[in-house]
Amino acid sequence: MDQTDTEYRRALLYLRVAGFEAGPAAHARLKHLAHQHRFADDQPQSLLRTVHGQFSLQQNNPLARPPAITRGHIGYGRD
Amino acid sequence: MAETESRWQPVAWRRRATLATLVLGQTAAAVWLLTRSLPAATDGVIGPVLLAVSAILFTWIGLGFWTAAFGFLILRRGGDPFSLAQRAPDTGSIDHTSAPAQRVAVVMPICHEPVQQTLSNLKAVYQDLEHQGALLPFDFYVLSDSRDPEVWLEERAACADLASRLGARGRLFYRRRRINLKYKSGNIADFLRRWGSRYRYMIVLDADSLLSADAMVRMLGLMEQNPRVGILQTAPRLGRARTRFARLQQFASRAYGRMFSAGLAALQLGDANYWGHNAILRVEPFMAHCGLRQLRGLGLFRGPVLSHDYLESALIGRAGYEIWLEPAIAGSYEESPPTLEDDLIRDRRWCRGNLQHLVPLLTLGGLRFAHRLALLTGILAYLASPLWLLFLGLSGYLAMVTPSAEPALPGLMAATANGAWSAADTALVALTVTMLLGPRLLALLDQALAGRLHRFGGAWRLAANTLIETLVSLVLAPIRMITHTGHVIGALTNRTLRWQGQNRSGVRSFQDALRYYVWPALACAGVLVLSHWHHPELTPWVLPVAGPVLLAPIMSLWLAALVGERWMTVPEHLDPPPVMSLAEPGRPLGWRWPALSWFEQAVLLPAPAGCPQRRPGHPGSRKQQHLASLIERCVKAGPEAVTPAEQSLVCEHPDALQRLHFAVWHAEAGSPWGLVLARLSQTLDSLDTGIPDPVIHSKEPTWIGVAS
Repeated sequence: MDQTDTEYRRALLYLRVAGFEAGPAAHARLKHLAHQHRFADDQPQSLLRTVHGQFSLQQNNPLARPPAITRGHIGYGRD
Repeated sequence: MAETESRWQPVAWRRRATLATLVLGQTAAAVWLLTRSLPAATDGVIGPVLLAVSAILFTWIGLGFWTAAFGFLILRRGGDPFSLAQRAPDTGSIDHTSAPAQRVAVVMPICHEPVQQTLSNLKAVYQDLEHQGALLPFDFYVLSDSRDPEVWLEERAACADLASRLGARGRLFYRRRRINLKYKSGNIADFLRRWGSRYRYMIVLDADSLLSADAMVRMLGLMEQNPRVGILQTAPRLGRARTRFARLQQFASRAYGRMFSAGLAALQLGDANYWGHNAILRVEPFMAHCGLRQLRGLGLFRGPVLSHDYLESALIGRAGYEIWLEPAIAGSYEESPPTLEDDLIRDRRWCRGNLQHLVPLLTLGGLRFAHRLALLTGILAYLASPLWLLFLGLSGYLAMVTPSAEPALPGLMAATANGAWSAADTALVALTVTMLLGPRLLALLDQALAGRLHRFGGAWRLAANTLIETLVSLVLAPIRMITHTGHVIGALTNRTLRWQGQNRSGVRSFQDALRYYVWPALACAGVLVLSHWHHPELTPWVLPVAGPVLLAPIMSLWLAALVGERWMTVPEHLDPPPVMSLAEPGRPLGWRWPALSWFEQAVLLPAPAGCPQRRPGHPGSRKQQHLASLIERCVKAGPEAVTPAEQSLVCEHPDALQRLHFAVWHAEAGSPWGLVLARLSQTLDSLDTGIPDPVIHSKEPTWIGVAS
């Protein structure tokens, strides 16, 4: 897999979408993952899934879940 | 904890008895004068019907006039000594030691509102509290009923961005209902069922609401001091108007509103009403007593209650709690609809909701008399328009059948022998004009006596603006009358109504305006032609009613235009309050690549690792099969191949979204999703070449695990 390969270019785009700079560091990381991915025949999965598993996007999700639910009832009066 | 003193009740009854005497006395006088003025040919059934309708209408306008007069007197006395705000000193602080017990949920129910504007308002409320050091007891909930994925995905992203910018993670939450039962009241009830028990109080905001920190702290303090108060309602002022129509409404609200609010509060005291927003509610009794059942009648009177607020105040009042309107609490704002059509569309919803109140009015036992009266006046607010139309129709009929050479007012006032007005005629006209225009004059006098003229740009500017506002109101009155009559007929015949967020932008086209007014204009044109054909002498009397309706599209466009800052000056123009300045939209909240829709972005963006996921359903379940077929269709035929509802369904299921995500990232180059990816790539390239864009990520994500 070289840098003109469709899957490689998709993976690079994927990294950019995830917020990484498309600089030398990302290329190096991606090449390393692609190399690993090629030989990981015992657990076949797409390169994108491999890439996705390699970074954290916590800062893209700063919205906390609402607090734990405390079940309450709405009363309808006597009518 | 001291209980609210109940000394206000005898005072309230005395004041209401005075109001009733004045209104009924003035109505009796007006009807008597009318009987003296009516032409002779009213012996049949038409005359009594006309008098009965006149009596109702005089009562209606008398209520407005005398409420304003009460307000004037109360303001001249320096405020109402029986109001909560006057009785309780403003300490300006909250007891933080009992913070867990007195926690407050600030809820903002929204449904297809302009996202940036709405959340900028919430941001302003949050920041004002933060600047005042009063944030501790407050949690914020954005409660969305939006169904369009292009709206709710933006809401969610904007809320996330807002929480990030404010450092409000764990204090600001976004919740979207998937099943939109019972509109806004159902949305709030859903919140209360889930999280209501965590809070002692709830402050309800509308999408256009602004509340200053001082106001919120004051409201909280008053609720703490008065445990029998179930709801404390502020009197929101209109603010941030940009169109001519909204500016006129804002001017009227600021120039005359304080007098009406003071009068209303003085008459209602602890039997006031909840207006649905800019209010603080005591959660426990509200949950226990204010559930709204679906109506089980026919047509309009079947299904969810549309106008919930008046009923909720009646129900909490029935449970023994007090409801107070406190106009003295400053710093409470809302916005006017930007155009006449938006105002009338909102009126259509309110009309249906208010007419529905006929059922609880007749069937609910134990309601306080004041609340029954409030429900009745809410109904009459819309029935008044068909009654005015009936009044005009009957007087027009009398004018046609009455043989009078030159009547003073056709159908209503016969001419005297010398053709001049009689004393009764003059008194009747004077009384009517006083009832209609008196409140405006009283308001001007009040502003002058209170030394507030400079806040409206000076005496001359205030007087001139009042004149302009009055003239426009007179022109709009027939348009409102005809349109409201249509609303009443539409409601009673149960014509369907789509429940959507309001247009708050003010953008309208001439075609829209023309389409909106075509039926009222045609009806008025027909009446004008017929009356001119048969009785040309009546044309000058028909024109003031028919003319504005015929010109409504042009008038509507003129009113929808944006105006400069100095037009219809109000105090907020000269000295904007901090919370209003904070609400000015700055950098957009949430980000989206310009080439993508919100749905496309949601599909293409990698999900954050460790993001809490719903448990996927059983693979063989009908829902999972449906989701699988949706994903397959979407992957093959692109995002347009699934409806907005189906897009929402996929986005609501993270596992399904994840499957779609990886599938589209493997799409062929020429396929629909391949083209979307090409667009995305071009966008990223353009951003990399130095095009500034606020949507780009602020910081790079981090790698986890060393690939070795």
